[in-house]
Amino acid sequence: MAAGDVVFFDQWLVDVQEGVHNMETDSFKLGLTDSTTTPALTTTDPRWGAGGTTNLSTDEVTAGGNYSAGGASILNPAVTLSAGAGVFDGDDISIAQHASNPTNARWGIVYNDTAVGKNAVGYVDLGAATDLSAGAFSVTWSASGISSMNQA
Amino acid sequence: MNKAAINAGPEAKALRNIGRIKTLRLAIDKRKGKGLDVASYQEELSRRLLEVDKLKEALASIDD
Repeated sequence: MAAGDVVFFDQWLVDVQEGVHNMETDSFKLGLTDSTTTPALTTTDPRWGAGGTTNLSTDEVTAGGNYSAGGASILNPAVTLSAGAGVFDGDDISIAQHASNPTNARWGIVYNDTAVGKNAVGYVDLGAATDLSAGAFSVTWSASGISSMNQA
Repeated sequence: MNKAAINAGPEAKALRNIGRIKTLRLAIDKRKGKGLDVASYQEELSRRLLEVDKLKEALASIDD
């Protein structure tokens, strides 16, 4: 794993085919967690809350400043077809510097805030524990979108 | 696997603008076809197009 890698959980492959997610009309958020738990492709039934096997929200950084509990919304989500790939994309994340911001964000967890079970979709590797009180923080998604699915 | 940039620099942001403009245009067309609201999508598209225009102007000034 390297800083910036965006990984979608194996569980997402199941959830999306069971209709848990509507990647276009549901609301998605990026919650920040500390280094207590390292998410992985194979993390079992990851959620942002109870109801699954892995509750990633238990490791959420302390809310404060410009970071609200639950994380930042990924606005304007969309799924489009481009060159044979189904591309999921949304607006970038930007959190302004504030002295009371969390100081130990290590992972960004993308989860479905609309789904009853708050099913997690994937995660972003921030590379290292990141202090949001020291400067502005942003996640700029790939020019190719947050993720894409194609016929492999 | 796609890759995001954490605290991206100007180059990554410029490339991202191009990609996001593409997905926003496709999304707007698709949503219009479904009768869904597109106002916030159009606002984001306009904001990114403005950024690209500013970059174009800056590049043009190099050639002046």
